[in-house]
Amino acid sequence: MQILIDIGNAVNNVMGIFGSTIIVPIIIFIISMCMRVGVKKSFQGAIYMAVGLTLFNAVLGILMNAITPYVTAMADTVGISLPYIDIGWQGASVVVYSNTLGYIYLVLGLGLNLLLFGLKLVDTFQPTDIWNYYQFVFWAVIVQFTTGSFALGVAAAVMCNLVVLLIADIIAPSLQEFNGYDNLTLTSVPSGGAPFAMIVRWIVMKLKIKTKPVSAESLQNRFGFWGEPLIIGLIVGILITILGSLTGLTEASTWSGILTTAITIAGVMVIYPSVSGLFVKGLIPLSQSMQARAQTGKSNRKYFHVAMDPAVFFGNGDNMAAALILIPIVFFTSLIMPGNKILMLADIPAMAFMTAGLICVFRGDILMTIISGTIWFNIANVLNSDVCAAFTKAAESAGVASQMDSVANAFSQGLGIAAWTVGTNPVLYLVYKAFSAEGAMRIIGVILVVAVFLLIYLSFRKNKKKWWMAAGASEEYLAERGYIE
Amino acid sequence: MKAKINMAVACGGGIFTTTVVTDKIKEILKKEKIPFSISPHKITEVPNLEGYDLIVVTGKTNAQNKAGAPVMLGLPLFTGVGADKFTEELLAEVKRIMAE
Repeated sequence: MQILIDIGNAVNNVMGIFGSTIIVPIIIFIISMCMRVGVKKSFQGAIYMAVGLTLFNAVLGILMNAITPYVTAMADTVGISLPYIDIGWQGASVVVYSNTLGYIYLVLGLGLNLLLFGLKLVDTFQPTDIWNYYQFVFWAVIVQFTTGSFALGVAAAVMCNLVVLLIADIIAPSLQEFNGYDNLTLTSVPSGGAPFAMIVRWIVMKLKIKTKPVSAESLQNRFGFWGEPLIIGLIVGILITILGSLTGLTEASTWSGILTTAITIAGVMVIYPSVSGLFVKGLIPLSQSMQARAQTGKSNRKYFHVAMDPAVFFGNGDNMAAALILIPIVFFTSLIMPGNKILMLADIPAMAFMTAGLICVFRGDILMTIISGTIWFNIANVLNSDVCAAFTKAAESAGVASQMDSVANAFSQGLGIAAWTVGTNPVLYLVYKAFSAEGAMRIIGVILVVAVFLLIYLSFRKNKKKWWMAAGASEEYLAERGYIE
Repeated sequence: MKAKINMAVACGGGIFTTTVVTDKIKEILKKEKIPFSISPHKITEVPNLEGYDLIVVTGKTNAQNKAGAPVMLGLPLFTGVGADKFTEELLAEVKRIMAE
C-alpha cells in the first residue's frame, strides 16, 4: 500500500509541473504498453486523449463562462439554487482518470476482477468493461477527497467494485432475457437502479397491482425531441437564463444575453460528445485488448456473464420510450426538489442509459419504469448534491479548474460541477458515507456495509434462482439457458 | 453503380461503442479496397438520418430509417463473438448496395 501512495505522490509532483493533459495520457500509454496493446495504438490513443483533455477544458470554460452569471442570479432572485452544473459522465471520466486513484485502480481492479472470476467467487467477467471502472471509482475518489486518505479511497474502491459485481451477477439473466443478448451483463452505473426496482417490483407484486401496457412507438415519436442534445441545450438554456434575469425582462439587452447564452449552451451540448469522444479514444485500445483476451480460457465454466458497455442496452424501444418521458419529468422536478443542488444538463440525453437498469426488472413495463424512475432519480439527486463539493475539489486537484480562468472564476463564486449519471447511485453513496464517516462511526459504518454485503452475497450464492427471478428473469429462460437444472 | 458507400454507425451516446465499431468497419472496408465515408451518430437519430446507404447500430433497436437505409446490428464487431460471420454479412450488404 505504501508503495502505491509513494508512486501516487511522485506522479502528483510531476503533474503539478506538466499538468494532467500531458501526464495522464503518458500514464495511460505506459499502462497500455504493459498490457501489450502495441506501440502504435498506445501512442495514437494517448495523443487523442491529450487532445480530448485539452478541448474538454476549453469547452467547459465556454460553458462556465456563459452560465455562471445566470445560475448565480437565479439563486438570488427566484431562490432556485442549483450551483452544481452537470458536466456529464464524460466529465466524471476525465476527473476520475486524471486522479491518481483513478488510473491506479485500472490496474488494481483488473487484478481483483481476474482473481475473483478465476476463483469462481463471481460469475461476471468485468475487464471487458474496464473503461467504465471510473463510474464506481468516482465514489472512492470522493472518499479520498473527503477524508484525505488515499488508503481509504482504495478500500472504498474495492468495496464499491464488489457491490457492482454482485449486482451484475444478480441482474444478468434478467438483462439477457429482456434485451435478447446471451451472456452479457452490466457493471456500469445503470445497474445501481436495479436493487431499487427489485424492491418496488416486490411491493407491487405483494399488493397485486396491475399496470396497463403502453405502446412504445407512439411515445417515441411524440417525445423524441427530448433526446436531442441541441433541443435540450436550448430549452435548459432559455429556462435558466430567463429565471436568472427576471428583473430586467423589459430591456432588449437582457434578451440579447438570454438568446446568445441559450445558443452557447446548445452549442456546447452539440459539440460535447465529439470532444469527450477524443478522450475516450485513449482508453479504447486498452479496453479492446482486454476484450480480445477475454474470448479465451473461460470454457470450463457452466455459465458466465461478460460485462458490456451500457450502450448495447440503450436502443431497446421500451427503454427509449420510458427514458424520453422521464427526461422532462426528472428535469422539472429536479428544479423544485428540496435538497437538490444540481442543474441537470450534459447528462440529460443519457437518461436511456440509466433506465436500462430499471426496465429489465419490470420486464418492459414502461409505466412502472417511469414512476419508479421519477422517485429514484430525485432521491439520487439529493444524495448526489451532497458529494458535488468533493467532486469539484477532485476536479481542481486534477487540474481541470486551473486550465481555464472562467472555470476557476465560477468555482470561486461558489459554483461547482456534478456528473448526473455517475452520481446517481444511492447504493454506492451508502458505501461512500460509511467509509468517510468520522471516528467510531466509520468503523461501525464499514462493518455494517460489509455485513449487509456478505448477507446478500451468501443468500444469492445459496439461492441464485430466487434472486434472479426477483430481478425479472423468468423460470423458463433460466432453464433454457442452463442457469438452473 | 455507386463509387463510394456512405455509412452511419450509431450507439447510445454516439461515443464509445460507436468508435470501436467504426474503427473495425474501416479496417474491413480498407482491406477490401472499398471506398467509404462513415460518420458517428446516436441511436435516437436513426429514424431521421438522411443520405446514408447503410446504418450499423451497436445495440438492438426497433428503430427504422425513414429514408430507407437498411439497419444492421454490429454488436459482434464490438464483442468479437460472431465477428467473422457479421463481417461476411456486412460485405455482402455493402457489395449489394454498391451494385445498385
